[in-house]
Amino acid sequence: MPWKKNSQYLKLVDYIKNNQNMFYRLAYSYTKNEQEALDVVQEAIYKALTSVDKLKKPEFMKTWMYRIIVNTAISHIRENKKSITTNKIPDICLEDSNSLDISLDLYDAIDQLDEKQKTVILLKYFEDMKFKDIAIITESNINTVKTRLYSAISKLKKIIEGGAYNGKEV
Amino acid sequence: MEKKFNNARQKYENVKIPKELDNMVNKTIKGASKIRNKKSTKRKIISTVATLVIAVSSITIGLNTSEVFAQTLGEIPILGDIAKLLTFVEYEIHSDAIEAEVSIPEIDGLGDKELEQRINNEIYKKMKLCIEEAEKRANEYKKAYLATGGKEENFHPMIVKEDYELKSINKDILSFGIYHFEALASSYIKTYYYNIDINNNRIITLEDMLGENHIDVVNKSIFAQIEEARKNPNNMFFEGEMGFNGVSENQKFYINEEGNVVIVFDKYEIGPGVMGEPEFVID
Repeated sequence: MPWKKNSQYLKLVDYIKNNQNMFYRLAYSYTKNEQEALDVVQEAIYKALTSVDKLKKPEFMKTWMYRIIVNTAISHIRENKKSITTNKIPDICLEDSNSLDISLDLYDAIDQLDEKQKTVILLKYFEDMKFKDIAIITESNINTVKTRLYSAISKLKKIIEGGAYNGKEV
Repeated sequence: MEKKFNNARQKYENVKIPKELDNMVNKTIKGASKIRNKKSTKRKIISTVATLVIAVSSITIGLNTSEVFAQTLGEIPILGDIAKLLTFVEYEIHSDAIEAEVSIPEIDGLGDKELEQRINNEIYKKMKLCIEEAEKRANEYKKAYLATGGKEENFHPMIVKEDYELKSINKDILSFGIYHFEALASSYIKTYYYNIDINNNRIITLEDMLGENHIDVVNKSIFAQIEEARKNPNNMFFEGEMGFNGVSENQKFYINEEGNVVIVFDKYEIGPGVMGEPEFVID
């Protein structure tokens, strides 16, 4: 049924166009660098478009797309770890010097979480995803997601309360 | 904590969206759709050996027959007065490690058959070698992916496209490029250009186009253009050692419709990947 496959492809194209900003924000929250976030989005949508026929259930398009973005972003930052750490320093300094807003602490503190904890926080609090969907995206089960979320929150609390968000590891 | 999350969320939502995003998304969709359309119409065609205008068709045999590939005779003549650029051979590879689309051109109608043959052979070998290496890399990558615990269903094959692009043709000059595009962990592209003086049957050099001081002329122009581009914050040419430091004698270029030299750099050569292959028109 090629027409059916094709309609799924067109749906994906629509979905990508309507949500490109969201993809970018998600990618950016991993790379914290404009060019690299663009690279991640490009790579992810390319992967999605060229393998959409593998998507068996159309209702999973969203979680499927998010999974591709998250995985692409994570493998991207692993490859470029060095350059990202150096890029991040001026960001923090800048924010540090011109604002007293406590929320900056949390936003930056999220960067200190490990990849898995970070993904759960982003999807849960910034993308409003259900535990069920986060589990699909991260290829784990719901309980693991919950545990990960709670441990991420308590780590964030420690980072903020300890005032150590500028430090390396807590 | 709740409030802090809300504030952080606001910050997340206020991340500035770069203007290039929209354009990049559209381009990527276009590129992917192109591959898709070709794939669905040609997928089932069983190979036939291309017969060609001239007697060089024998080298089309020997394509990797272990994959399902479709090969069609593509003969899209691009009209010039005498010289032509044609599709010599076109085929596709579909395996679980690689999805490739290859279109190899050849020139025809040069007065000097020896030069014509030499260029055609070189193009064929270059493109063939590139695709073979890409296939090898793709297979190795897949093996490594599975060996390190990756799941088959999450694996995305390497996407490869090799094609040519006519830059300009008139009764004196034929200028075109051949390129190899690859997307896996990140995309990669490599282009070679050929500029041919049809009347005198020779490859055109930068010196032919710009005279004895060609290196100076090109360098001055490019430095000025980079300087100008820096005024726009979206242009991020590398600086210092990593950046542009002058062209060499065998700098890549093509000749555009207006007859101007266009200098081309590799992806990552003088700027970040998102800038693609930077081009500079030398007036």
